[in-house]
Amino acid sequence: MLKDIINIAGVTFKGGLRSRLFLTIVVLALLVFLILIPSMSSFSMRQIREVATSLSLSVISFILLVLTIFLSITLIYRDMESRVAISVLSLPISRPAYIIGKYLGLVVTLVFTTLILFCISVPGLIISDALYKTDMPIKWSNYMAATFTELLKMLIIGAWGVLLSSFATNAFLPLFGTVGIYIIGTLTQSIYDYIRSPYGEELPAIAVIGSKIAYYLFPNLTALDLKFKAIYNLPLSYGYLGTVSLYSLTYITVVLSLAVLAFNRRQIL
Amino acid sequence: MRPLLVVILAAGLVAILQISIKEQMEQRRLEEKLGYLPRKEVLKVMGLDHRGLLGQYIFFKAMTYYGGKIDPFLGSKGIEYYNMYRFIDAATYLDPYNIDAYYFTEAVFTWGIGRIRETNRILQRGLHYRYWDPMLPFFIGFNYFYFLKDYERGARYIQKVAEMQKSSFYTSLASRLLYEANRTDLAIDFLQEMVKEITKENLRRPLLKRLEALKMVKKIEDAMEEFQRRFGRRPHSIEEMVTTGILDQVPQDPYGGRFYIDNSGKVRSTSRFAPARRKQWNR
Repeated sequence: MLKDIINIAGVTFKGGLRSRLFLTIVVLALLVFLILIPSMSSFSMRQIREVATSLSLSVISFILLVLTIFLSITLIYRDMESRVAISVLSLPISRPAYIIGKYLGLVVTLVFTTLILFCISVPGLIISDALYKTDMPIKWSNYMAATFTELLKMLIIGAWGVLLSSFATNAFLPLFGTVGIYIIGTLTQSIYDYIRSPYGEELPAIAVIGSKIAYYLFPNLTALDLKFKAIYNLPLSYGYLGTVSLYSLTYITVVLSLAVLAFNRRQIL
Repeated sequence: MRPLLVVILAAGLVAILQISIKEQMEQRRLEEKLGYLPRKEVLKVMGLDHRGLLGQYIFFKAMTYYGGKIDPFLGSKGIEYYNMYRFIDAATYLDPYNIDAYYFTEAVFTWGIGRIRETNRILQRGLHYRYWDPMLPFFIGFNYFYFLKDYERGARYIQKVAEMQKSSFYTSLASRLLYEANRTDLAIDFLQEMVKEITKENLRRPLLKRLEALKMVKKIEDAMEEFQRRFGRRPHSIEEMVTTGILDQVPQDPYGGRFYIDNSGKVRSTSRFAPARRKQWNR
């Protein structure tokens, strides 16, 4: 089964390579990170490096988000539409192996993309750093950690995309579903903070209970947002990084298991 | 041939329209409005996980608006200051670490239009987040003592700067403000603490001198209180307290001046607690 998973993941990743996806990303990243970001951040007065870091992380996050949503929808849905899935599954490959293999393919693609974006953003940041000398030079460990947690966020959203695609009969549910998960996941912490504040006491009980359920049910993407830590070199502990990584891993396991269950019950004609 | 002709014609039309749009946009610049900004809480939700970037963008917008409006010859007429303040408030709410926004606030809203309390409200936010940055308590402290004449609060913030910087300059400034606020006792305590912290001799020396001067002032102030208790009135001079035996002698000002009691009953010195100026500057 492990061999099947690796094979499917490999095919999925190669699909990305063949579609010149990475080439497009490299060209886009070169333009944005080396030309656009240093020139835009120079508008700042005394925090050029900070603005450049902020822009870089937002660009990485945005490209990864678009890619995750696009890939997680098309991964399974396209296979179903073109009936590739039927021929793959008629081989001695189990359904769980197919789903997990597809997801791993997505993971490898996202990791590879993140590495490309990270590496190209580094010279851009060095250029911006050199434009204005501050007493707060870039802290690479924080920047790496923030990029890593952006990747984790996308892996969670990708798992949701696979779950929704595993039972959806059209592309709209996975599309709006993943976008919705991204928005809800980003907001749950703010909503939770709000209901815990004095303002929250005026809310009806049903809204409070609903918000609390959503808080625990949907991924907490705010916890994985370390942009401010990277931009302003704020203290960041390895313990925290370990906790959120473990959280992401277990969350993905739950969602993927549900995807496997849903796909096992799916009728493929 | 025909599709190529369409492309050329369409491209030509686009170019003409582009020039027209450019001209209209340039016209717009002259009467540009800062525009409407939703409530900061709504912006925080809308910003999703890019709220830092959104905050920086809103600040840039306010800054470029101000830069475009301010005229070196005509001054700054017709600037929507209140709206600009809302922009900066929202920008620092979304990205409370943005130091540019705090510098801008201090420069524009205090010296420009004298909105000191509003400025301090935004700077307080900066101080809460940028707890390592001495510029923020310095700005707040400066605003309190220079614009609002609130020496005691001013001193409290300058004390923070001094603690962060371990600097004799800020230490002296804070103690001076406490003295102006009639809190000589606090000024002495503060200086004594700082003297312990500062290990460099050249930085310690001016502080020790100021400490000594303040101790003398305190001695005179205590004697004045004693005089008031005994005679039911304020002394006319320091010498009067010596002749009545409350002070054994007129204390010496370490800065080389002479102590006196001013009309408001405050102890002052002819040296103004500053080192004597060098002669060559007084030609």
